[in-house]
Order: sequence, then C-alpha cells, then structure tokens
Amino acid sequence: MTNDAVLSISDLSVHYELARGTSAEALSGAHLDVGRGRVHGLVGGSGSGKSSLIKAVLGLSAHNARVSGRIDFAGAGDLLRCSAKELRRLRGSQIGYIGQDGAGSLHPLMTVGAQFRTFFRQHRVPGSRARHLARAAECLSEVGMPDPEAVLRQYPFQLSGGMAQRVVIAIATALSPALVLADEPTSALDLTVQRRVLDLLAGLRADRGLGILLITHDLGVVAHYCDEVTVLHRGRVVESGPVREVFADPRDPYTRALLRRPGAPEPAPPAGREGR
Amino acid sequence: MSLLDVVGVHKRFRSGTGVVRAVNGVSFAIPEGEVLGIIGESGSGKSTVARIAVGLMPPDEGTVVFDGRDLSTMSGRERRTLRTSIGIVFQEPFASLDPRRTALESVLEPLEVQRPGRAAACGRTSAAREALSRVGLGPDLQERYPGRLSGGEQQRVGIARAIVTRPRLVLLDEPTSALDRSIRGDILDLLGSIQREEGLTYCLISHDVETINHLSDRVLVMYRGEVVESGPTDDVLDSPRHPYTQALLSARLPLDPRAELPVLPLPAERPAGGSRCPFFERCHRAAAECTAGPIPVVECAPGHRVACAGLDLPR
Repeated sequence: MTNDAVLSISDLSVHYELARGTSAEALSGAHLDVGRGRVHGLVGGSGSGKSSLIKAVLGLSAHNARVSGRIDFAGAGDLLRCSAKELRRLRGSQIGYIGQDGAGSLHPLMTVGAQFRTFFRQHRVPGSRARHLARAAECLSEVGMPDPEAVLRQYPFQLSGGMAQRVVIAIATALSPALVLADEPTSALDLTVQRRVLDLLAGLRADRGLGILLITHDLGVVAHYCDEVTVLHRGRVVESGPVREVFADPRDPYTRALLRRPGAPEPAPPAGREGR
Repeated sequence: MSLLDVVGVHKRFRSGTGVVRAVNGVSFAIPEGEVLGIIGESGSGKSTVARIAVGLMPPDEGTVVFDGRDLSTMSGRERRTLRTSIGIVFQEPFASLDPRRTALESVLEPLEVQRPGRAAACGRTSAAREALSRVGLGPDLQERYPGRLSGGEQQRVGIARAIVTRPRLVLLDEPTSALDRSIRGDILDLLGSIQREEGLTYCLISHDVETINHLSDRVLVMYRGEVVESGPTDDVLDSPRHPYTQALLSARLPLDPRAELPVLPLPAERPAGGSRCPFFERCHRAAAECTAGPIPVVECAPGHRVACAGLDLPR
C-alpha cells in the first residue's frame, strides 16, 4: 500500500458458488489504488465485475461469494479481515456510498431531516435533536442546497432527481469519510444537472482531501473528472493508469472500442500488440 | 411531399396528482429518405411523440399523416399494412425479443404477417436470412435464442426485424443507450449504412448529442413537451440559439481530457407560470418579453427555427 492511498485493492478475486459445486468467476486478480484527494474512475460494462468489486469493498458480498485478495483501507487494514461490526462502523462514517438513484436510496416515508438524524444516531454522533438538525442543515448547504431548513422538512418525493442526489451526497460525506464510492452517481440525472453534481463531488474532493472511486460507463465523465482510470472487462483489469495517458494511447482493444467515435475507422492496434 | 407529417399533436396523461402535458402542440415533417433526430432529456415527451407518429398511440389532438393517409381514419386492415411499412427498433433489445424464438424465428414473424400462407414460406426464410446477414449475423448466430446472444447481437436482431419487411420509415427509439459503450459506434455505423443503401427514412429518438449528430440530417430539440428549436443538424449543434439547447450542448463532456469545458450557464429558479415558454423557470436569459404573450417562432437561418421571445436580447 503506497503512503497516500486511501484504498488499495490487490489481487482481488470474487467467485460465486452455484448449484452442484460449480462456480462462476466474476472478478479475477484485480488491482486498484485510490489516492487521497484523487478521483479514480472505474469503467466497465455489465458483467465486467465492477459490482462484485464494490460489494467486496463495502463488505456486502452475497452469501455465495468467495472473496480473496486484499482490500487495504487507510487506518483499518485489510477490510476482508474486518469483523462485521467493524465494517458496520466504517460504512457511512469512513466509507461513504452514493448510488445511482438518489430518491431510491432515501427512505420514502421519512423527511430528509429524519434520515439525517437516524444516520447520526446510527453512528453515535452526540447531540440533541436540534443540534443534529443544525448539523444536517450545514451539510446540505455545503453541497450547495438552497434553503436547507426547508429541505430538511421535505420527503424524498418532493425533491427533484438532482436535489435528491445532493441529499445523498450530503449524508454520504457528513462524517468526513476518507473514501466515497460513487456508483454511477449521475446516470439517472438529466444532462444539464449531471455536471453540477460532478462539480460538487470534485469540489468536495479538493476541499476535504476525499478519495473517490467513481464508477461510470461515461468516458466523458472519466475524461474530465477523474485523475486515474481502471477499465474492467469480463472480470479482469484490462487497462489502468492516469486518465490523460490512457485516453491519449489506449492499449487494450476494449478500451479502444470504448473511445472510438461512430464513423471513425477501427483504430489499428498499436505496434507490437495483436488486436483481439 | 413528406413521407410523414405530424401536425399540432397534443397528448396528456392523468397522473396521481393531476394532468401531465406530455406533448404540447408538436409539428414536424420528415421527407422521404431523410433522418430526423429528436433530442431531449427524460420527460421531454420525445418518446411519446414518436409513438404517436408511428401509430402506436393516438394523439388527443392533432393529426398524423403517413404517405398521404391520415392515421386516425384508417381501417384495421390498413393499419396492419401500415405496420409493415414502419419498422421500430426499441431501446431494450432483450425485452423486445421473444426469449423462446430464435433470431431467425423472430425476424420471420413480421414477414408472416406481411406475406402469410405456406406458398411464401421459402421466400420468407430467405428474406429473413438476408436481413440477418445484412446486420452482420452469420448462419450460426441466426439459430440462437436471445439468451445466447450478446446485447449488441440482440440489437442487431432487433434491427433485422425492423427492416425485414422493407419498411419506408424506421423509428429508432434510443437504439444504443442500453448497449455496452464499446459497441455503440458499430451499431450507429450499421444503422447509417443501412439508411444510405436502402434510402430509408429514419425518425431517431435520443438523449445523446453524439448519436443525433452522427445520423441525423435535421434535428428537433424538445423540452417539456414542446419543440424549442429545430433545423439542419449542423446549424443547430454548431450555433444553437435557444437557451435550452445552449445549456444542453454546453453540458456535454467531450472524450478528450484536454478539451476545455464550456462554462455552464447558471440556471435560474423562477416560480412556475407567468410565461408560455416551457423553459422560462430555468432560463438564464428570460426577460419581460417572455411573459408578454405567445412565444414567437423565429426562423433565424433557412430551416432553423427557434421558439424564443428573447432571441435578440443581449446575452
């Protein structure tokens, strides 16, 4: 684990045990580092193994999953060897999670204020109801929410998609985590709102030295919001490196296909390598 | 004359809390052999307009004329004929295919409607195989079930199914947005070459500027059920005039990490109502003219129309 990495994944493999002793390999020997204050893009289509990777980091792998390798997290050691209790403490406070569907990750029958309070109590944040709500309002204004007090009294269905996603980001970053997993955080949002949410994440990264693992299928997002990128394809890391280098000279055929524009000819494989 | 004429179409849906005006007075025409792209975000009404245009859904108001015939006055028999003149490629390839039919059987199905009877069976099979080869699926893949095909291959079956009856119009409803990013370019290239070779007319629905730019001759920009801007694709994408189109285009993230991102215009937050412009509440340029009455449609270049009251205002 390098010194400034918040998350360091090495040789991570995930198998799922299926009926009659068979198993399916979802992820095979993956390596990935997220540095402090860095945004690392994780790109892959369906079946690439990215969900298995995220679940392994969160300690939420399915019961039939067999996970091997190491997932070192700053200050906590190997997450794969942490107890369930320890993982529960880390999730939410040290490792934030932002899903695709903002409104869907909030409790539909609780006001935004009540969700913040539940969250604070879960993580044993001391303080009265009023203190908790004041702190929640602060968190909301930090993510650029106009009129936070009013939002605290609202239910998720009263929020637009972009607003709901801001609430989720505010909760995910409320306890100053070292790492945030953002799983397609903007793909359910309108294009004109997407960039604002991404700008917000980029700002939080810069202000708080947060490490972000940004899962996306949008190469434009990677190009402009990530420092490093890892491309997963069929359970394997096929390419990784600094964004500018990978985009300027993609080595793997799958990465090249991702970056190809319609109408452009199939790029010739770089010298010394065979195209698949 | 246009192959498809959509005139003053309205569609409302009842929802739990009231009425949603999904489509609000939309008109357009597609001349034979042209590709019209309709771009808009979720909820803009673009899919509803497309469904109305191909007769999958009746409009509340307005008319749709296909090849000189009004869809609303067609008999059942005429409608069935119409179905074989209009092909549709759906967004979700797997959901739009029968899991218990092989690729070949799925492509045969529309032909059995178009040319029923045993006598034509042989011709149907060869036509279906030809369509499948045209989309790049060889004989071995033609006998497979959808579950044994990749997403891209499934969408190729969907395209073969849409073109096998030799339709005059093909509706493409987000044809690549459910597919893995790496094969998007291949599918778009395939759609483009089929259109050019067969002289087909396309109505393309997409939220993706890149897709629209690649295939369309003309583009229609929709926002909240209305057309805010339309014109030749290059004109509209290179020099957008409507504040919404400008916001949409400046929100794009180009694939080049070194490309400088345009500054996003800050959206306004105005109370609803007060103007007949659908973008009024969020427009960064709104002014007194916007609340004065109907929104004028200005032709700012040949064929390039913009529905905006504040066009000549300083930015």
